[in-house]
Amino acid sequence: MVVYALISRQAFRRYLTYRGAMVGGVLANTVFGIIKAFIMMAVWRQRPSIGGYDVADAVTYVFLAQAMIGPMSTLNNGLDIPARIRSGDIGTDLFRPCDFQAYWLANDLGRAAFSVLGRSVVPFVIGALLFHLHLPTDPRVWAAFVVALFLGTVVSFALRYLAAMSTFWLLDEKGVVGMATVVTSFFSGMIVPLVLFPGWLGQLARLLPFAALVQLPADVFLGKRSGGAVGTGYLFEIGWAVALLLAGRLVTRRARHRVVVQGG
Amino acid sequence: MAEQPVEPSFERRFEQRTPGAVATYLFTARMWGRSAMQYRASLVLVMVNSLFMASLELLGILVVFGNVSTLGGFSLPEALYLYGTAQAAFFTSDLLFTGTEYLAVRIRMGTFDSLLIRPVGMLPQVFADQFTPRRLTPMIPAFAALIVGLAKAPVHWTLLRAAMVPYTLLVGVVVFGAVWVLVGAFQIVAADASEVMNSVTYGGQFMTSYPLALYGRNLMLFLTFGLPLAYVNWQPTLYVLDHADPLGTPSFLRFAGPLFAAALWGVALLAWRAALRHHRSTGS
Repeated sequence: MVVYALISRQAFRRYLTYRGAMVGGVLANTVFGIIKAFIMMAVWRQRPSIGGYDVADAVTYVFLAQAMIGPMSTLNNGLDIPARIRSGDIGTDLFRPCDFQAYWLANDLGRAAFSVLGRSVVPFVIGALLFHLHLPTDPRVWAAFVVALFLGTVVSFALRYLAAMSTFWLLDEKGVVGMATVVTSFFSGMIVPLVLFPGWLGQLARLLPFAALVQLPADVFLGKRSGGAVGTGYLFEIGWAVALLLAGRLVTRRARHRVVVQGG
Repeated sequence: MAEQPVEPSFERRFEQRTPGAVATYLFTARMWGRSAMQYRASLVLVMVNSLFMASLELLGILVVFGNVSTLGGFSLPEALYLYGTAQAAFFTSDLLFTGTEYLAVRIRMGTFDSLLIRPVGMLPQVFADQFTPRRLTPMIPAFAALIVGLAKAPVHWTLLRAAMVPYTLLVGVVVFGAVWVLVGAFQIVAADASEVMNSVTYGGQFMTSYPLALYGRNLMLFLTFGLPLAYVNWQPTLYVLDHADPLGTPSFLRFAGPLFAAALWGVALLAWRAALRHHRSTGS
C-alpha cells in the first residue's frame, strides 16, 4: 500500500512543476464558467425551476462542473499509457514489482489530487465571489461530497484506462481516446447539465457511468441527494468502478500476452 | 512518343524567385499538409473526432432550446445563425492562422530559431506551421447551423442584408486572425504560460457563439469597445436579424467591424514586433 501512496505523491509533485499550465487552466475554467453561468441564468430566468434545480443551483452546478474538468480529466485522457506504449517505455511499467493497473490508478489519483488544489479551488471561489452560489452549510454535506468526488475520480480513471489500453492494439490512441472524450463530456453533464436533457435521454444519462463524474457529486453538493440517496449514489459509483476496473484487468491480461518489447 | 515538357514543381518555382508572403504561406501549409497526410488513418480518425466534438456543442444548444423558446432575445433559428457565424469564422481562422499556437513549444525546444533564419517572412511561416486538414471538419456543423438558421429565421431580405452574411464571416475571420497574432506574441514572451491565451481564443469562440446580451452590460461594453469580439458576428447579426443593440449603440456600429478589426490588427502587429525583438535565441 505504501508504494502506491508514494506513487501518488510523486505524481502530485510532478504536476506541481507545471505552474504556467496551471495558471492557464485556472483562467480558462474561470472564463468558461462565467460565460456558462450567464447562459444558465438566462435559461432559468424563463423557467425558475428545472429538474428540481433553481437558478442558484444551476450556477453552482456550472462552477462545480468547471472545477471537475481537472480532477475528472473530462477533456483529455490524462494517462501517459499511449505515449509510453509508442515509445516502448511501457516495458518498464509492465516490469515494475507492483500491479500495473494499480500503479496507474495511484498515479492518476495523485494527478487528480493536485488538480483539485491547483485547478478546481480557484475557479470555484471566483465563481462564488461573482455569483450567488448554493453553498452547503452542513459540514456533513461537504464530507459526503468529497467521498462522491473521490469515487467519481476512480470511475473516471477506470473509463480512461480502458480507452488508453486500446493503444496496445491500435498503436494510436487518437481515435478511441477522442471518441471516449466526446461521449464523456456529453453524458457526464459537462457541456449541458443533465437536468436539461429531455426525459428519456436524461434517464439514460443518469444510468451511465459518466454521471458519476459530474452530475452525481454535484447533486450531493447541492443537497439534491441526501440521507439514503447519498448511499445509493455511492453504490452506483462503486458498482461502476468495480465493473470497469475488472474490465480493465481483463484487458490488461490480454495486453500482456500481446506486448512485444524490442531491444533491451 | 514525344517528350512532354516538364512543368517545374511547386518547390522549384518557389526557389526560383524571392517568395512573397502568400507563396511562403502556401508552401509551408502544403508541406505540413503533406506531412499530416502521411498518417492517413490517424488523420481520418482525428477529423471524425473533431466533427463529433463540434457537433456536440451544437447538440448542447439544441438541448438548451428543448427547455426554453428564446435565449437572450434570440429564437432557436436566430441563435443557430449566430452560433454558425461564430463557429464558421473561428474554425476558418483556426485553419488559416492557428500555427501561432505552437510557438511556445518551438521556443522551449529551440526550433523557433530555424524559422528566424529562413530568408522568408516570419508571420506567413508561423501561420502555416503545423497546418492540417483536420481543422476542416468542425466547419460542417458550423455551416449547417448557419444555413438552417438563415433558412428558418424570419429575415426581411434585402440586398444589403444578403451581402452582410459573407461580410460577417470575412470580418469574423479577420478579427480572430488578429487574436491569433496576439497569441503568437504572447507565446514568444511567456512560453511557460501559453495556455493563458486559451481564454481569449477558445473563450472568444464560445462567447461569440451565444447572444452577447446574455453577459450583461459591462461585459458587452468590453467586447464592443475593448477587445472587439462583438464585431465577429454580434453587431452585423443584429442588423441581419433586425434586433436592437441592448447597449443602445448607434446603428453605424453594425458596419464598423473593419475599423475595429484594423485597430486590433495594428495592436497585434505591434505586439508581434515587440515579441520578436524580445526574443533572445538560446544559441542552440
